[in-house]
Amino acid sequence: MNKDKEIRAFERNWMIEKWAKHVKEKPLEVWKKEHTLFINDQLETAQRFYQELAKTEEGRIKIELIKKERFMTKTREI
Amino acid sequence: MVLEMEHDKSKLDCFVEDFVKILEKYGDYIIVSGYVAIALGRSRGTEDIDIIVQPIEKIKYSELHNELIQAGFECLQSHDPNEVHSYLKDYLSVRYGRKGTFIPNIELKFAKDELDYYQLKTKKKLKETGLDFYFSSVEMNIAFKEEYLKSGKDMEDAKHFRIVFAGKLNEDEIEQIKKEIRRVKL
Repeated sequence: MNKDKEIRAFERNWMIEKWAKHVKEKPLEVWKKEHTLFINDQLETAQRFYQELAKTEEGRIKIELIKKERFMTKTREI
Repeated sequence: MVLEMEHDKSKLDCFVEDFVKILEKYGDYIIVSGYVAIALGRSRGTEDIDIIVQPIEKIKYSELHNELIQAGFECLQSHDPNEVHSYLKDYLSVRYGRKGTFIPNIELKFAKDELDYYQLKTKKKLKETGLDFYFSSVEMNIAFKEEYLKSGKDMEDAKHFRIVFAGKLNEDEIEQIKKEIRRVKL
């Protein structure tokens, strides 16, 4: 692993631990409010991206390809 | 404590709630994998929610499918409930999203092997989530993520579980489940 990758992995790990400790130590109503803001934001960003993509013919074709690739493949992971 | 204030629930929680409120009328279900970690505080996104349900026979499944459609969901693979049921019967997963959208979506599958049935038998409402849903146990999720799924994201989810539930985990159960995963799945 090169130095940059090592640093990124270390920082990511540190963030995961820091947040997990926050969830463990704080009451549900405290972490859940912060968490809900993050989850909603993430979801809205993804939805906005596809809404923008759907505005053009080329974008709509791409969406169909994405759906075909991801949802029509007959897989079962677990 | 179950979250009573609507604004405390995320849009993802509300999406799952609308789906399972209907699903639970037709059979036992459990939510597994990524959304379990998210419901327990993991700060990452997901586009799909994995749900295992006990197998449902064709006519009853048709009723379930139609009720989901009435509630504003649509199946991404097919609009024909018989075709959707045939996929499930072949132990393939099907996906439901809100009409006209595919993010987020529910990935639904019928219970297939002993481990799926064990998870259904040991389903839990996790009070730490504040949500009124049935989940597979934290031990089960750790075992699956560490022994079977193993992607970077899964290992990070397992790490999150291990920190949040430090001192409360049944390590013997995790090891036993890992042994079963090696026997049944690998």
